[in-house]
Amino acid sequence: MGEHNESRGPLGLVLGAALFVGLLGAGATALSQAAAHGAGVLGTMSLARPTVVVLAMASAFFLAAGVLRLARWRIAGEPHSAFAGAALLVMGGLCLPLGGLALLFPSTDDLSLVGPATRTIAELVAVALLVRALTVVDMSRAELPSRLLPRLFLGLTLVFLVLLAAQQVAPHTMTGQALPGMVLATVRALAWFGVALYAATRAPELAWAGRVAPLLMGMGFAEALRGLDLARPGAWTFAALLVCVSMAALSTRAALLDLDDAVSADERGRTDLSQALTLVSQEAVGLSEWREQLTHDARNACAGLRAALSILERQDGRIDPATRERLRLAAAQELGHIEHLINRSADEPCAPFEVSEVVRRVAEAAWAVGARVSVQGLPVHALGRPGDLAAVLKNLLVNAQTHAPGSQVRFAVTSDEGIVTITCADDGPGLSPEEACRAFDRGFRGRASNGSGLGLHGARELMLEQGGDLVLDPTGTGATFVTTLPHVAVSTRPRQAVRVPTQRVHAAGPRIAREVPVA
Amino acid sequence: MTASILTAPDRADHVLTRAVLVDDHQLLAQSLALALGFEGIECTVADLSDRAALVREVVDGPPAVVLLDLDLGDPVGDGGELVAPFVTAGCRVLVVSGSTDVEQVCRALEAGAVGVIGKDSPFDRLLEAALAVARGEQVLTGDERQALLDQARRLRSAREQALAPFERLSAREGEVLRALAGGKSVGHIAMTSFVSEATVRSQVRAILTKLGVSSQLEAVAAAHRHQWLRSSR
Repeated sequence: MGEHNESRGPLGLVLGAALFVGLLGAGATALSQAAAHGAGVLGTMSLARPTVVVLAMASAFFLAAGVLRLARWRIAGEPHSAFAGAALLVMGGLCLPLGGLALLFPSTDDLSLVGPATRTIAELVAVALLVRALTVVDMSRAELPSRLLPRLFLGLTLVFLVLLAAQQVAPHTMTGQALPGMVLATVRALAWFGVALYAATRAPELAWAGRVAPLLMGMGFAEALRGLDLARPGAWTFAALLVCVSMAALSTRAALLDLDDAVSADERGRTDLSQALTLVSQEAVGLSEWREQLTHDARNACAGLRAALSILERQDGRIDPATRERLRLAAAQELGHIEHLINRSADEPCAPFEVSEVVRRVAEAAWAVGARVSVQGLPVHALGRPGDLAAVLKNLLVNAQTHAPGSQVRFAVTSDEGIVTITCADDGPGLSPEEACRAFDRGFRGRASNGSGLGLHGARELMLEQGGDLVLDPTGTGATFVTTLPHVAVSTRPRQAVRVPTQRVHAAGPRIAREVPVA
Repeated sequence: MTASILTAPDRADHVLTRAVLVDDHQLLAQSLALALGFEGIECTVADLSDRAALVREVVDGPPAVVLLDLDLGDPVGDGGELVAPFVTAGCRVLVVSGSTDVEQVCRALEAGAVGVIGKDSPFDRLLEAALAVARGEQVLTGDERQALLDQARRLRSAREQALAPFERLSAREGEVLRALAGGKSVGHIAMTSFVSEATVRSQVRAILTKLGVSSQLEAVAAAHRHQWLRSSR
């Protein structure tokens, strides 16, 4: 709902024009009435035809506004729209130019078949419905039975019929000669003014109440005008009708704008839903792609492991230690790759974690298989994904073992200027300048690489994803890779002393030369 | 094409003693190389860092048995495309595939591969198949080969049929559909491509009509289901 665009197409213009003409007419009639001192120039019957036209217009506007309100109720499910719509339909019914029928019977001197008493009762019904509309906000759609409308119409029709019948049976009572017309008009005017004030007080909670309050005020004004015609409907009544038709036009316009809002809100809702579903389906596709890749890689890993086992089983005696080592490394890498695929979840949010601990865990896993790895550094927290960092470090470790067999690998964790740095250095031959240039290219494999695994390219991508980086430090003697992550200060834990044993070195068996021709 | 498939195994009458393993999964490649080495076949595991160098490595030597994986990852990509140059150079290509994509396998067969064997086969069978190829024997019977090719043909025509409506999309409509599938709203698409929302809406309507669906969501789902997004990338 909310904002109203003032230029909403030709219908708005038409309604505006009708309002203008209505108000102008009301003013002109009132002036001429004042000039004519009540009777004379503008005789009652001379206004008969224009009155029928104005009544028809008011009725049409009210009915249209009512239908639009009901449409809004169906779309947005707000019960107040249903009640307001019903009230508007009552007004529309009330204004139906039934009086026009009187023109067909020249003997009838009364223009309206709806007498003042009937009019008063019907308008009070409309006001009551509006009050209900203003109080009904908390009722949900489910609580408002859709049978309400037929019942309402049935009830109102019956009331009208009864009133009309009563009017025919006892015209003197019902046409207001028993009660002075002015009293009834005052009651109606007061009812309208009352509901207008109530709407105004509800305006802070209900935007639409604020918008209809002036219209209700206008209706009260119209009834007040009507009350000026003391005995018979005259020029004041005509002026009142003109005001009434203006209000009807305005309420149609308001209903139209509200309906427009409801429709566009509905459309927006549907678009949002469709977009949300699109995203879900996209995620599902991503998931199935991930599964496909996992299956593919797992199948490959199984084939490789089966092959390696089979060859170790049958040809064990004929395989030299170097080849055996190569097979072992390849198997470990294959496992690492699959493990990484399984554990990997790009949706895992970056969170503060303790870096040295992750490094130590990676080192411990390497000690378990006899690698020489040292870890140095203080506990320090970084923002990132520990699983991914571990995968990257494992990759660097395997890399070092491949290219610098037997070399000791040194991890060091430092923190400086908001950046946590993890260096991984070995004593191997390092990278040639040409290799250093291409080390992070997709698909690049070094001279002695076993292929497979994450690769330096993949490792770097992982670090970049977390807001860190992986670079090669060209100054080291061996190969030195520098991994970085954003630092976070975690104040809840007191800084502990060195938890990671420094320079813990595990001796391992002799490393074996890299390239051994197949026997 | 069919003729070459049938004649390819027939002209192989001498035993090859060289094998090249083209597989990005090193453990399997190394194990196979070892095992074939024990059978007296000289093996090399191909370097996959450069496609052109890979082709040269295989083609330049004496004719070899090539054990070829089809999904080679970056930068080589689809191993199926390597079959033709290898076969032309007189190599015998055995597809050792982890892929269950019948079409992909059959493209390799049509390009002249001698046979195909799944990576999930027992290692002994893998080895036997490789040795059989080296000896110039057939790995697939004519019927097996024909059945595979038929199946691939059926799959292909089914896929082409499913993708046919997508073929009718204009380039711009394809762009819009891709953006929708990427979770972009019509308003966003209009903004980023500097056209009015009404224009994008009419393009969306055209897409819905051409695909015969009634909502954007359905269109996106169809694109995903028939893997149009992937095939048109």
